[in-house]
Amino acid sequence: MIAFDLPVPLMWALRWLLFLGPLGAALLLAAANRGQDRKLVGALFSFLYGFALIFATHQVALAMGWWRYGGDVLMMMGMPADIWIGGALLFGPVLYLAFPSAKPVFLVLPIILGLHGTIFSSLKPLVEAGPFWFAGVVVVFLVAHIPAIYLARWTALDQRLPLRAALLALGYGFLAFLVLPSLIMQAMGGGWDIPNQPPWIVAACVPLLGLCFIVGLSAVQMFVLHGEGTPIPLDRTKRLVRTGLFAYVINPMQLSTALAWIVMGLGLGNIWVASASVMAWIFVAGMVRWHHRNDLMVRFPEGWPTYRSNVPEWLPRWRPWCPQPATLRFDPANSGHARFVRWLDRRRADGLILEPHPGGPLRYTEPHESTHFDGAAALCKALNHINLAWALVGAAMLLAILPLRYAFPWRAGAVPDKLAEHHG
Amino acid sequence: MREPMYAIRGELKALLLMGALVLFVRRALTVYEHLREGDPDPLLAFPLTVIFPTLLILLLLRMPPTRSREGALMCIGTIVQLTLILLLPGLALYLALGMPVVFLAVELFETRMPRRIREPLVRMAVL
Repeated sequence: MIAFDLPVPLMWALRWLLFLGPLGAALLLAAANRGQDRKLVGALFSFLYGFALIFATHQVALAMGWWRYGGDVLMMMGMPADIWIGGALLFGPVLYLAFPSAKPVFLVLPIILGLHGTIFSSLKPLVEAGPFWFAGVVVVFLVAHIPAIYLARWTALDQRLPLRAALLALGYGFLAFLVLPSLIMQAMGGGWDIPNQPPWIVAACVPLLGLCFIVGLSAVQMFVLHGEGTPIPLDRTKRLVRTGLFAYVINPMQLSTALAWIVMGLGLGNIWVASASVMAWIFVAGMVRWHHRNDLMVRFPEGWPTYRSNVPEWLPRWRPWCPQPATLRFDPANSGHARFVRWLDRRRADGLILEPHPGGPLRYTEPHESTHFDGAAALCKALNHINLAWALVGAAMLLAILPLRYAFPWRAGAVPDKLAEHHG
Repeated sequence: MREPMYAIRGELKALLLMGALVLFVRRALTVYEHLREGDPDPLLAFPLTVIFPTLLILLLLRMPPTRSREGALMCIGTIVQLTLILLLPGLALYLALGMPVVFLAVELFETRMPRRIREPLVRMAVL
């Protein structure tokens, strides 16, 4: 460990460097990679993921006393905004674009040991190390920096779609529900004062937030399974997704975000956080509709207008809109299958053909798709054909079942074909 | 047939660039004044609050032509918003949070503004 005191002007220069260095390097490397669109999109995603997760992990570090930042310029909940953005640029786009084929772990290991390990505790008053600071640095690298570089790499190579969609969802979640409310409260007043809120409000908000997150995450899952892409138009889907919660509402992700902000506003007693939901509407009215006209309308000139005229943008339908029926194959001799099919029949499932197939597994297939779902996953997909309430139950179950099958394919049996393709 | 492309008019680009550079210099002078009074805070904030938005404006001005007219208008709207961020440092965070309003304004302009008002305005800004 090296311990020395930097003179104040040098500390100012260091702070400039920690922001302008990564910014300049990112711009130069982006210019050098001009024309390699997927690489640049990967770099952008890694920045956004890092931006959200660096903030989240640093809040943990500050709360645990692993370190604290000095000064009061550009501070955002105890963290200098310029160093935060500089870090997201350096440990995302810069490292990835500079060393695109190096393994992220080997890329950051020398930095953890060489840079942080030697001079971190000499940066007072910029940053003051507390007990267990090295463990904190490792946590930040494991949760924020290393996944950010992997995200860039997988996006550039169009690999591991489920994992990169999961990382994007995680990054978006922290961005929308931690960073943005924090910025709003910094600007308009208020704070994360949850312990001092009435317990019944917090108790009511937690399940409502859970419901909002199910809607948003399920939409991401449908994009991966049926669209073979991510929700971000820069890494767009190859097919028009009209199944799952998209059979009820066009913008489930924006709807879930807007509702979650309202619920958070109630939970925090902060009208400004709740009114961020207006921003979600503005975003849809301004940006998403433009994307629909200029991308979806162009790529799916027949499917998109019909879908658009049958499914509402914000207020979900109660029954699904299924332009073509899906098929649920079941074994009539299997009492569980037979009971489930009778139950579905009583609830008049829309757009679902029930097809007896003696000896076969319970299998759900969408029309014109090679993907099929077996067992419990087929059951969840069939629930989507009853009404919105059952669709939410099915969506929640599918969010647990499919990632488990993806993570443990040898234990859970069938993984949908598309997931299996992206597994390796 | 070749797809039509839309770009910001050269005159407007020059105007936007000039505005950004004037504001950059003004903010730099403010930093100098504060330093003379012994206050280094604006100097520390200078890269994020001044250099960064100015760089973004320069990058947006160098963007290639877009495939849709709304794309070019959104680019202009974003540059104007960034210029306001440079002009009004006290409101910078509010203006940054309100960035989606730019996209709504462009959408409303393109879809709701009467054609006889909209078209001459667009011709002044976009090629």
